[in-house]
Amino acid sequence: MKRLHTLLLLLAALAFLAPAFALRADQSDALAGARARFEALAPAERARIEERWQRYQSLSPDEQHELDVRAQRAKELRQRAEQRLAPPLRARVQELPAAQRERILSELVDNETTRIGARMRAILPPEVVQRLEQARPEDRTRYFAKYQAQQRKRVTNYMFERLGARLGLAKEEIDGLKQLPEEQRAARVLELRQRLTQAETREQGLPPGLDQEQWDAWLALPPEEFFERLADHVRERQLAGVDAGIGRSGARRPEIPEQNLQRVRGLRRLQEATQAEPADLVELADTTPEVRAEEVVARTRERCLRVLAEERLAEGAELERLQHLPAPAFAGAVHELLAPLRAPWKAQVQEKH
Amino acid sequence: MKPDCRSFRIRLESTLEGARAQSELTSLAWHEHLLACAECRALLESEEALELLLESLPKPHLPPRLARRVLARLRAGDERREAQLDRLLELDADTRAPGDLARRVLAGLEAERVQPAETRLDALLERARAVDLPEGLGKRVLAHVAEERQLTRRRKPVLMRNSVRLAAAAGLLALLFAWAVWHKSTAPTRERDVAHESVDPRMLEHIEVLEQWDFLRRNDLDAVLSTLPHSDQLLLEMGSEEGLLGG
Repeated sequence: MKRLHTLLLLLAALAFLAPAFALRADQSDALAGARARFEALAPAERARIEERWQRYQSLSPDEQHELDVRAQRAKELRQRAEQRLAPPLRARVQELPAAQRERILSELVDNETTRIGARMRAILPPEVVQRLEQARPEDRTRYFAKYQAQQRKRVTNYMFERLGARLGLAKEEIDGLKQLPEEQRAARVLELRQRLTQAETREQGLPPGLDQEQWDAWLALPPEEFFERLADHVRERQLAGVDAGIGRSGARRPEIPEQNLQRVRGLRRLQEATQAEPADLVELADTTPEVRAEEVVARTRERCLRVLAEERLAEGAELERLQHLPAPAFAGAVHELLAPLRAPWKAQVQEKH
Repeated sequence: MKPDCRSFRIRLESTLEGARAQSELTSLAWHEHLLACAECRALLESEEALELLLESLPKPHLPPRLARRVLARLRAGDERREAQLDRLLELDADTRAPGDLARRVLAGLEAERVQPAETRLDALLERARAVDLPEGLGKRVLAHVAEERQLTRRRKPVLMRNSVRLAAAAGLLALLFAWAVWHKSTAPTRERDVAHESVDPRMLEHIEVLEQWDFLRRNDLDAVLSTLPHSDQLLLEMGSEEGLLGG
């Protein structure tokens, strides 16, 4: 009895104190981690951080909040950039000294930023892209945030109606979806879209251009990745002038203009080649940032020239001319070649019909 | 027996049980019943003779504080048992131990020590054969002592009970342990705090923003577009596919 009494008291004391200690330990760990990072910096870097802290404090509360939100998203971007690396390269990054790892990850984020920027520019209506480019830098973020919020509401409401009707959801359920918090709406639309695509595939067969093995592999992906793959596939076929045949008019054209499709695929390969290869950044991690930047540009140019030749996007004298162009002119010429990929979806659909 | 005889003998018995002096028995000799009853007269005479005999014997006398002295010698410091023995001997104030009690106690103590307490006490009392003690007295005395102990324990205040004191001590130990863990876990931080008092903790809380400052302060379109959550990027792509995006 005495032992039980003692044990109960002991447990009660620990249970009372444990959450407080856990919370304090978490906070303490986070702060200790931040302090360790700060202390690992060279004196010049520390001074730079302290100077930024002064600037941060001088910002308005709204601006500070905006930076905090962007920092969180930048962190996610960084994780995505890291995830895109092949496992051996990811392991190599993890083994780098702290400062070097930070530098490489920051360059990977820059690279990812360029890739996403290119993709988003191709999605947005040209007049929106133009307005964003012409906006004052200090207004650009706020302007895009407002535009994005409007479009999210518009697209999700439309998609809840359309996907809900196709999936046979009750009106109350659709209305309930429309009442979801803003941050949950996009994920829910993607989930419904995946469900609908699966249902349509059961009824009508696989989307054109895909085999069963490929389709099964896609179905196993999370909704976001599933949609990304499918959208790429549909986009590629639309750029080639082929009806996607997925969830739209239902019209399928068995005769695929192979030449067009090959060109679009070639252009997409070229588009990918214009972006620095994450593997190059990691392989060159031991060089100075300046040397690494030069080497990455040189390798990127080599890759573009190889794709231009292999995909027959440029041949003979044209290819030779491109090979001898200085870096800025070469980038401009490639940019022009990629123009068809920047055509908005809507224009493609309207032209087709 | 005649009623008068019964009445006289009750009185005689009462006088004897009260351990009256022999002079009181003599006063009974003038009782009128004896004038006519030879049997009762003979009985009284025999009782008087017995009382005279008893009074002529030396009175058994237990030296004062014998028990305390014996126990003090045998078990120095065991005051509790000494007190018990004192109480036991005081149960009958008229009891007088024979003169060789101490010797017999000393002689038998070693053998008795290995016996259970009840047996030992009975055996001890048995040594005084001159004292006519009721059978099983030791058992009853021990039972009474045990009952008294129980009552004493029950009367103890809650805070004086051993279990409560042990539990409180355990609780205190738990608190001390928790404090020690906390102290140890925060020691490096506190040491660094002392070493780097100039570092603003609020700055450290925003270290991620400050580290990515240049990227976060970039306002070029790629940077703005890339900080859109991935699901929202895909949603815009879907809107574009559906021709929904407005200008």
